[in-house]
Amino acid sequence: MSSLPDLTEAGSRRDRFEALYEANYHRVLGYARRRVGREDAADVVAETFLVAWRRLDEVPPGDSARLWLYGTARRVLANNQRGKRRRERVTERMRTNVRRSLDADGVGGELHAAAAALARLRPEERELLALVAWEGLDAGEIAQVIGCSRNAARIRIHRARRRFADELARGGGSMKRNSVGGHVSEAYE
Amino acid sequence: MSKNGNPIDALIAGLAVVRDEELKEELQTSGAALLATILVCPVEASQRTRAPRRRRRALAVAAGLALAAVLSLPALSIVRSIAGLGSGADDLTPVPTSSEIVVVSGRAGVPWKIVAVKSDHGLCWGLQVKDPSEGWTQGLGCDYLDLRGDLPPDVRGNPSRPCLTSPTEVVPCASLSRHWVDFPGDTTNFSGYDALNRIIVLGVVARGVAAVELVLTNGKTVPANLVERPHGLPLSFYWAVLPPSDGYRRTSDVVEVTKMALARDAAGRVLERRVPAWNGNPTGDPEGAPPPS
Repeated sequence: MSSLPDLTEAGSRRDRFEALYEANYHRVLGYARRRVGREDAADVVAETFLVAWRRLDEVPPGDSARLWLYGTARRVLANNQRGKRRRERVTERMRTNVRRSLDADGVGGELHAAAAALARLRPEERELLALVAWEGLDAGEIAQVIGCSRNAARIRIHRARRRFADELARGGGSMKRNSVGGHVSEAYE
Repeated sequence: MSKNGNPIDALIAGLAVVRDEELKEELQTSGAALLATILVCPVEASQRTRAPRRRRRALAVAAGLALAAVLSLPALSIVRSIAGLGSGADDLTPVPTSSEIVVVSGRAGVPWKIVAVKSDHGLCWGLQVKDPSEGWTQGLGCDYLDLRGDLPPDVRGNPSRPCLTSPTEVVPCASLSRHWVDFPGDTTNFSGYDALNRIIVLGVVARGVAAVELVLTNGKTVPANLVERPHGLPLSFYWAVLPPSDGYRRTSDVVEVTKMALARDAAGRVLERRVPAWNGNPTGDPEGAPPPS
């Protein structure tokens, strides 16, 4: 987790924005790239930082700025990819990417099954798991990104993991259901 | 990328097409160009209000849907043990201070029940369903309760808990006004309730509320069932079972069932109307900004 300067105490507006941008550009770009194609990702990044530039006074200080940007990027992305057609594109991209990944490292069926299981989840569940696994956020940080309580975020993550495990098992994933399900089911025992 | 050791997270992390670190070099090329472009964009305060109406609405929809999904049920938590839910030790694990109360139960394809238990984080409550293969679900919500009346700490919850007042502003929940009726929540848009063949709407109300009506997004108004102060709890629960599809408003991936909850006293007077919250109206004020459509 990076440590940003306290933007509320930084110098000029321009300096503040540049500090914000330099510290987070690759993170926001990574966030977008992991979800949409390169061209769409560029649009998402540009629009996200344009919102930040115009609403710089609302960007929280410190590391929370990163979460604010994720939240903004998430909304920009949602705005840009509404509808079934786009979701199918995302899913297809995910499959393509996984296929490419498999070709590259020969990992094989496990990732294939995982990608298929992930694609079968609801978009909001998929995004929660991605925020954890791809952005490395914990429940408290995700709560800030999506605008809910930490408890709500935690249980939604839990449910999403459980659904993922179910889908993985249903699709014949190479991770046995007991090992995955058992882990996420500890809360029930 | 996630480093919490959860095997699911590790597996999903492996699906990422690119890591942030791999993109740092682009800061010197496309990133620098973008920065230069943005820095010459106007930033006057009225910029946002002058944004195209369609775009403002679309952004509002995105924000609204995000929070609507979050707030459709009481924020959920696990009462007994939180191991396996997060990324390690958690200081927010609620500790029950009472036995479990079954407020009401029924069957909608599968058995369901509304359950409540007092805890050091306030009242934990919610809907549990009996999955045919996995048994009863266990999630309960333990958020701060903003209902009127004197509620003990193990019902009210933590007054310093953060509450949204705008999409970006958080204040202690206790600083917000109190209400007669809680947001109506329902079982749509959540996994875990797939086995139900009906939609169940539920919520809590303060003492003094004698009736609750639900104004649905399909234009209908239905009376909710009321369970008054079950097992001596200082609040009441309302609930209704609705058809799974009855012309409810659907926006993208989200089904919106309830438009408003209306609380009446014993004389039939309206005590309060409350609408589902969204980012632009986090307190569910019926006079506040309506959810985007």
